[in-house]
Amino acid sequence: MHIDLWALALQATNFVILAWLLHRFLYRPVTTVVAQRRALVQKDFEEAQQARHAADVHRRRYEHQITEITAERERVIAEARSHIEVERRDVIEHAQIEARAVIEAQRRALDDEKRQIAEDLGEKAIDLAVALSQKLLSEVSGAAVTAVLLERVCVLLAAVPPERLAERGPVLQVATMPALEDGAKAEWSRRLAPLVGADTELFFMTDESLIAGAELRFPSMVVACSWRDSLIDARASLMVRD
Amino acid sequence: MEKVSLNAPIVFHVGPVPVGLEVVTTWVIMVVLVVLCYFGTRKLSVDEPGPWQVVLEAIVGFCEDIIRDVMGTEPGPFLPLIGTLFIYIATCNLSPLLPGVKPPTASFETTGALGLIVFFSVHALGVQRRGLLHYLKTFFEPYPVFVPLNVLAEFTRTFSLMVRLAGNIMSHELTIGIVISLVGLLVPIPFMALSILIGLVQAYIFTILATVFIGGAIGTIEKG
Amino acid sequence: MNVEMISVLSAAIAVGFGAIGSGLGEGWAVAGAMDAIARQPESAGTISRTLFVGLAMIETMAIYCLVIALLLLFANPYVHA
Repeated sequence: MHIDLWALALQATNFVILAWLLHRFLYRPVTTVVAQRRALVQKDFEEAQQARHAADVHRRRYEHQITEITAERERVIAEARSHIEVERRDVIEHAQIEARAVIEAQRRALDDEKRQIAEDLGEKAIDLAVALSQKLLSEVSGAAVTAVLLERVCVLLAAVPPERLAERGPVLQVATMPALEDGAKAEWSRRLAPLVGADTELFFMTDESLIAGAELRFPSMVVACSWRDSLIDARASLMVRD
Repeated sequence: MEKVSLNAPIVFHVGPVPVGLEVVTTWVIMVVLVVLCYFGTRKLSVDEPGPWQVVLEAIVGFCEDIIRDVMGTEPGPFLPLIGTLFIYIATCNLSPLLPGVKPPTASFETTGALGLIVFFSVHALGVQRRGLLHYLKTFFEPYPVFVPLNVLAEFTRTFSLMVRLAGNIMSHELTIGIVISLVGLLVPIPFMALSILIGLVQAYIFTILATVFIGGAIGTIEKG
Repeated sequence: MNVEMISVLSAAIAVGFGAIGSGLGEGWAVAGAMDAIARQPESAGTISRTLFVGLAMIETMAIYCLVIALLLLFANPYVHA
């Protein structure tokens, strides 16, 4: 057993040469390729990282926008709701006022109409009454009527208190309807004289407005007995009844 | 009993220089490795590596990982030495799987050459990285009393590196030879399979130890 | 008893005793590694790598003995055939 120094030197040289050759043909190209690939992967990774970052930013912005939009929507809805509420209250109020006005107007119109109708009715009734009485009177002879009237007037005059009668003026106007004939006038004068005093001067006249009746017109007072008055009374009572 | 020699036979002489069998085998292995690497790295692709490129990248990456794990530095300048140690020793250790080939690492000359290269590389790198004085100061640690021991350790560990590799491979060769001489058929096959494991493990250990020595010398790890 | 017989005996003793030491050492190393892996399975890779290195170191002792034995058997400087 011995160590061959030549072989030792040759093997050492061989190893150094092999190391250089492998460095030239194996390590350098392979490490270069690996480094390139690592750089590529690193670049891709960084790009992906950047893309993710950008996406994150986008997402955050969208989330922000969504919250903003939601808040805006809430606000708009609330505003619209309050608007609607106010408007609704206004409309209701207006409608109520209008309705009240309409009701009022209608009621008033109705009342007017009712009154109008009542008046019309009253007038018609009076006209009818007038027409009826005139017709009735026309059928009755004037003398009979005036005789009755004279009796009534006498009764009325007798009922007047004496102190009022004392204040009567010196003139008495006697208005009748229908007109008195001459005989009738003398009868009236004869009957009235004791009641009003002989010194009172009598004037006779006709008044169609009385329809049928007589009025003793003193300067200070009137004693009346006529259908007109009766009709007016009747009408008044009619109106009151309404 | 036939005469067994532990020395490789001399094949031919070049002038006064005797060329042993292990040197010739080394040349063949060198040629094969360089040719394989040359054709394997001719069409390297960044995007679509072919099968050959994947194998080469895996081997180089393995060596780089050894340096990174053990020394804790980037492999860059150490890769040619460490990588070539691993690839060359592994190839030599696996070469006896081919019939008739005697592994060069079974001879003390080859492993001695590798040990010497590691020895000088360790000190050269240590001086280069730390400076001469700083590097010499590491021999005075932990106490100046340890200087003779530290110096002796530098030689013994190189010697043990040499003897470990050559002894393992040579003894396994002898074991297989003895088994073959006893039972020639089928029985040696498990031993041959074991020789693959032993070959790879020994290459790995040689590489790791060299890396540890260099790392200790340049100060990236505790001196081993 | 001549030199050759002594050499053969020495070779047998060297291999035998070397094997005892490294066998015990490797056994303990593997047991410790198993223990460590069972306790921390996540660092199994580092442990087995260190184990392999350690085993090879231990085995080197046996290999030294084997080399001595081989030298004694096949390259004995005191035997001149």
